[in-house]
Amino acid sequence: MHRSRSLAAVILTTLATLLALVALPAPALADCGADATSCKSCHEGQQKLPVNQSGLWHTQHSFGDFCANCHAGDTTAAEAPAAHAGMRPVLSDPNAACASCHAGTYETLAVTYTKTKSSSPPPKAAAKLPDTGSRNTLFVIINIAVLAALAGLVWAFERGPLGRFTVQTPSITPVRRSWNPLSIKRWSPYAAGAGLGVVAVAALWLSQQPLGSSGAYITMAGAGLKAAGAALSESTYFKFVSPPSLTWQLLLVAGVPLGALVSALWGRNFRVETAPDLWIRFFGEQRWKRWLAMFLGGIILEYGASIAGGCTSGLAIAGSLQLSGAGFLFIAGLFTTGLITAKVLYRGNW
Amino acid sequence: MVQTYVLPITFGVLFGFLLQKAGLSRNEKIINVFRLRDMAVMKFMMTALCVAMIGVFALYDFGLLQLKMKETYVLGNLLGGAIFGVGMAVAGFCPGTCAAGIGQGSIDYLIPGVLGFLAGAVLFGATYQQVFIPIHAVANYGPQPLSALWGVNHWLLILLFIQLSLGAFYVFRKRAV
Repeated sequence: MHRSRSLAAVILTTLATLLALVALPAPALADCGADATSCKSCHEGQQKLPVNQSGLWHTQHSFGDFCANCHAGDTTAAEAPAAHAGMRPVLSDPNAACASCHAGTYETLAVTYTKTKSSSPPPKAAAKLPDTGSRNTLFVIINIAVLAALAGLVWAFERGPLGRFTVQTPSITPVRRSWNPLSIKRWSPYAAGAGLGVVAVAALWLSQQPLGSSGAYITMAGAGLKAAGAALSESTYFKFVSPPSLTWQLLLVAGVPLGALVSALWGRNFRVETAPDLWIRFFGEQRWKRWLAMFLGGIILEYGASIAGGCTSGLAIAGSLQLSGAGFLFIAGLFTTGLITAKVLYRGNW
Repeated sequence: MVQTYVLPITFGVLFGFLLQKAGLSRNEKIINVFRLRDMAVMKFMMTALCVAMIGVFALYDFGLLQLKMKETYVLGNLLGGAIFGVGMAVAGFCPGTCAAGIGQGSIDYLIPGVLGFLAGAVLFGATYQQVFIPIHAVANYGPQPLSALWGVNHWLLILLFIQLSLGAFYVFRKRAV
């Protein structure tokens, strides 16, 4: 009885969140499939006239979608000619261009940028195009070397000195009593991972969007600040970089609890819990400790993800799968400190 | 309608379903990958990457898909990841698995977890100009894949990643599922 009431509460909360989301304004779509205000997505994403590497003013503003603030134009138009109508030469009035964001300091900024413009910018990037042929040869050699190293590794484990390091953890094979894979409690991580790989490809192919989660919380926080009338909702970040709207990622994250609910109910492992068993074993029964750790952990996670430009889904998976260096750097950073932190927290039992 | 609402929610449902089926929405799975006791998270992620790399770049080569990624800025990606790792080992979840944990009934994910994310988002927005902008400018290579950055054929990098993944799967083959 108690359980079913909690279940109802969870479902109602999810539905209420979904309803609240639909109340937010939907983004208009441009013909390139990007948000209409996203000059960057057409220029950078489709690599048509990418500009964010040329000139100090562009590199310093490449983090957001500010093109129209300086260049003007119609950010709601769906087609290129209409979107470009009414654009102004930026340096005709640099003060006005800078003042739209930097009300206090625009005069010095305008002077800096005008100076940079008049002195010829140093030739970048294009001068140092790597020699593709020899790089490819190098990576073919690296691939062969890795293959040889793997063969050596397998030999060392099966026949050689590393054999004693093989950990004989009894593998917890899920009991497969059902003919229906959906009702199996635990899938092999290989099977579930392959499934996620297919979902990630489909998202990029059909929606032109990478998966991602941390951005959704930013959007929600921005919407909350706006609703509360907080001064922070007028800041550069919440007003221009990440304005609250019904983003693709927000809807994606809204779907996640529903999918997990279906999976848990079908696999008969839905359970209402306020602290997980492993935590209780190490840190005791008090719920406030767990909840405090979750709150602080949440702050750290979201802050770190925002600094990095995405989280485990947005960078580590959706970035790395496109061979983005950001994804691999993020994974390296998170595993280094994750291992250390776990060693400290679960000491003696690492 | 389909593009704006149906597709993202459908992908989200599938994403949440797979996270829960793999057990990643459970605190133990995340903590234990950092204790090197249960490498399911690593196996899940590396399999997803191998499959998706092949799919995405095959479609890309046929001109059916455009890449869409965040910029690479070395200091921020590393530092952000390092901060993120601390939070992940403390709380045992991350933004995506939090949403999945809510669906399986984890109240500690739903209330303090989500509130923490929202507070972190507000904190980030409030310190955006002072903290993010300078970090973001350090070693910024723009939104391009390593293959373009290094001038290498992308299939050579994918093959390298698949080889390393298979090696990792082999080393951790005896660790619990």
